Amino acid sequence: MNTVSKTATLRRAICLTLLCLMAWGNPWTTPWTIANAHAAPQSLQQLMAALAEVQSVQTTFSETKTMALLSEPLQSTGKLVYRAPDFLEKRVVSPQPSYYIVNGNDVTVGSAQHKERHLVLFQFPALEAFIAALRGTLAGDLKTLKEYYDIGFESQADQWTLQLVPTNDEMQLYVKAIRIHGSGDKIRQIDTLESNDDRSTMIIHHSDSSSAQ
Amino acid sequence: MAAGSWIMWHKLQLITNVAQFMPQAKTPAEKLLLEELHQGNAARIILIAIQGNDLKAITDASKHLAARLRQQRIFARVDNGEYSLPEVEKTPLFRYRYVLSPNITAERFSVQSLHEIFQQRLLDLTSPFAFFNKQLLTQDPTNETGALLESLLSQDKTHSQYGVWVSPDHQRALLLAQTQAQGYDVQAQETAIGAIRSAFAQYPQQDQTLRLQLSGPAVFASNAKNQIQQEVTTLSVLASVAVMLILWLAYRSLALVAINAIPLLSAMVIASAVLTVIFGPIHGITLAFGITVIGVAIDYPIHLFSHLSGERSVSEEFKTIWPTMRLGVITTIAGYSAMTATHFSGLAQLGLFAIIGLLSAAVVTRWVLPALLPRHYTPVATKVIPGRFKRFLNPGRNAAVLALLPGIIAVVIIGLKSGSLWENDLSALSPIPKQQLALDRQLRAELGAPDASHLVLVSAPSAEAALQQSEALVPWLNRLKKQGAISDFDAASRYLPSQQRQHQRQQQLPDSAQLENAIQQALQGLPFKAAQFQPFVHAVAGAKTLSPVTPEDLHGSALGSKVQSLLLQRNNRWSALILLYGVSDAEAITASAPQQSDVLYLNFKATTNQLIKEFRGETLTRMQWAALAILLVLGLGIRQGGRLLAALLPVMLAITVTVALLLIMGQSLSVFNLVALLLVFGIGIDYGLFFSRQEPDVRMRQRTLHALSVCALSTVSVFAILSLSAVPVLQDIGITVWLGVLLSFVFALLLSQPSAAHNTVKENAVKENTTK
Repeated sequence: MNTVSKTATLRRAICLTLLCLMAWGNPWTTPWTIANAHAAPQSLQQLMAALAEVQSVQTTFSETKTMALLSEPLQSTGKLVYRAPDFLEKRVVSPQPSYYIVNGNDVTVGSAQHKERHLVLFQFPALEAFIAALRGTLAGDLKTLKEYYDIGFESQADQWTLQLVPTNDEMQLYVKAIRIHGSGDKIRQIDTLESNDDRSTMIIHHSDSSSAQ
Repeated sequence: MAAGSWIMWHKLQLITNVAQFMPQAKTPAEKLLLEELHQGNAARIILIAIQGNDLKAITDASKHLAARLRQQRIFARVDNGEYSLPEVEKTPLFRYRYVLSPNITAERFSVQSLHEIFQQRLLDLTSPFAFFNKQLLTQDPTNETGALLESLLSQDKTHSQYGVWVSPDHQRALLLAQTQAQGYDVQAQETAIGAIRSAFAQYPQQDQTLRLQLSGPAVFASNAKNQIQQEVTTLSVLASVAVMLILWLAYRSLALVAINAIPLLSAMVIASAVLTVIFGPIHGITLAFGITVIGVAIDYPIHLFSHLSGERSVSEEFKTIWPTMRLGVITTIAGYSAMTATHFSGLAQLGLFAIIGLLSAAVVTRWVLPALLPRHYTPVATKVIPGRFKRFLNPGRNAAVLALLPGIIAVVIIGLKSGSLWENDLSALSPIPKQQLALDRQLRAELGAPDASHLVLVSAPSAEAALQQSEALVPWLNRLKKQGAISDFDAASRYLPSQQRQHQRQQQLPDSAQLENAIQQALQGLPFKAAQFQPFVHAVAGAKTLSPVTPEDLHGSALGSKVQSLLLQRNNRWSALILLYGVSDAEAITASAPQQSDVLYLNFKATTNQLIKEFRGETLTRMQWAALAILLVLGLGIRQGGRLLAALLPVMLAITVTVALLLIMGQSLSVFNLVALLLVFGIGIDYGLFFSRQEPDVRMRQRTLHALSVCALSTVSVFAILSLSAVPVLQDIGITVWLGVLLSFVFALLLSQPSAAHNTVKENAVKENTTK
């Protein structure tokens, strides 16, 4: 009896540790619970509605990319601009300036080294899906998000997390999941887990930032 | 991406039918032009547009239609602008990057260069889109694939939305389908067109507002064929009914109506048979023109019928008109025989057809028809010719002078409009309705065509030689680009370098040990793990021993279709085409073009205009010879200056006034008008000859008037009906003939009178006779 309970306690402890590890050490393996009603003061729909209200966002970011190709993570910083409903600009300032602008269906890419290039978004389905994740969230456009992803949602008090798992083949080639963390109507962090287990974490600094992770 | 696969379409707006009526090519430029018209890649391409107001709906329909058509084996390629980047790794572009890329030099793989490249790649990884390229990075860190793809993409000038080609106004989604079958295989092309229509019909549209539009040489040919078949049936029934009605009203005899058709029918059968024996299969257009030209044969029996008075036997009666009819036939044949001596095969066949046809018709009329009629037969209606039209027979001198007036005015008009006398635009010769041509031009413009009327042509005995030659021209073309004479150019060697050049590149590639070593050193101070670049090392090592890439290796890919459209094989000769974009200074190109016999700068507009001019020059020369032959024959037949003039003047005036009227209507003269004028001449000369001949009495002249009125009425009706056609060719011929014949009749009536004194004597004699 005693041994049994000891074993049970041990097993429970291991499980808890594992769960903690999963939850904090490697967020990607967390078993996902969809819209936990008890813990959620707001629903996915409410979040989307709140995000849809935001007409423009101007922030700075710092990004860390960890990849098999590199022996140490790659750091970069820059600015992010969003204007409703479909303008998105990422401007990398360091280590070297470059910019990526998505306006409607047109993508403009340029840097000090490469001359400016124009792409049409929909010619690159994977890119299209990737942009949809960012723009769809910023615009609170649930319909678009659902077109490309299985959506998981979790929230606690003001904090929320969206997990987007791509449903289209093109995107699955490259990305396992995108996790977007935020508070209120602000996005605070974007984690991307790629198919080859490379990862990137982009932390977004709002000027009024109080609780950025 | 497939923009290059439909090069040189512009000139294809004319169908093979017309091409056969062009002179045989003498220069390589002309040869290429004509060959491309017949069997070029471009002739296999069907342009598809899906029209609608909703951009999303038309682009969705485009994707759906393209997917459906790609499943069908009758299409070699279907392009609508869709493609996806991951596919790149399966393409020859990627596979052969180290021999195809223009960047390959030994320097490219030095430690210094690699270090800079790796540094750049590290920075590229900060891109939000980096994950797309990462796999490629370890295999192709120097990004040769990107460079190649870029050069391929830079030639795609088509506007895109939702990933597919659309017109700039977003009203149309654009697609290109290339058939497996050759362009001249009309049956197969029609199957392909049918497949496109049914695939579109099966597309579930929400509100049925989308419309399918098709264009291209095959579509034109198919439309023209169907339309001509349909119209020829309707119009020929109408024309036959009209002629039968006129003949029945004139003679009140169904038997005569039937017998009347015999000479024309025999002429058609005999002429077609003889031509088939001589030339093998005859072209539809020769047959159609030929039958038009021998239409004069319908007049032959009419002359006989109207002259049957019952006073003499049919064959004796015939003897009185035979010399005049014979002279008419011989004159016309003399005219047409001048045409058979041309090197221009369409015209020669037409001339021979007309000669054989007219000869047969005349022989049948003279020796077969009388045998079919009772010995003293006379049609009930013409037993007595009503005298009330007699006054038309003596219009007097004033009327004759009056008749000259329109002729003089016409000459002045032709003089004033001589600038637009001739139709030089090849597309205006096309039997394709103008709206269809306009749609075609618009679709091509929306697809972002290269300058279709300018081209540099390199010809060589092998593909390799053609590619080497093209490569040698690049410095010249770059100079032109720098000067601004052209905005860009496109050549097969850009996508597939010559084997010589590929070999040069292979020699520049380092071996595995060298490259591994260079990578190690180049990565000093960078966070990349050297081991990750093994795929790169393998790829370069593989490329070093690769056997040369040939056009066949690229088959079935976008790159391959590009090369295929720019590198053509014809009877063991290879032609490399260099497309020019935005040509602003044709003279600079001509002036600086290399003086080599195997390199040609073609200005298609100039070339086609030249071809048309030559053709017209040839026709006009033949017509001069024809005129000379006619004068000679008529002179020998008549031996009387006054009557020669009386026989010739009316038809000459009629032709002059017809040309002037056509010019006033805004038409310029094309080959079809000229053919029609040949018929007008044949008919008009008969009118002149008959009206001007000395007749034994005034009743005979009345009979002549009757005969010629019936002839003119039926011919004018037939060609007026033809001019209702929607097919431009038939319209042109119709209008020209009915105008010309009507005028010939009026002028002949006014001008062609036998000498007055002679006539008065005879008339008195008749009066005396009747009073007895």
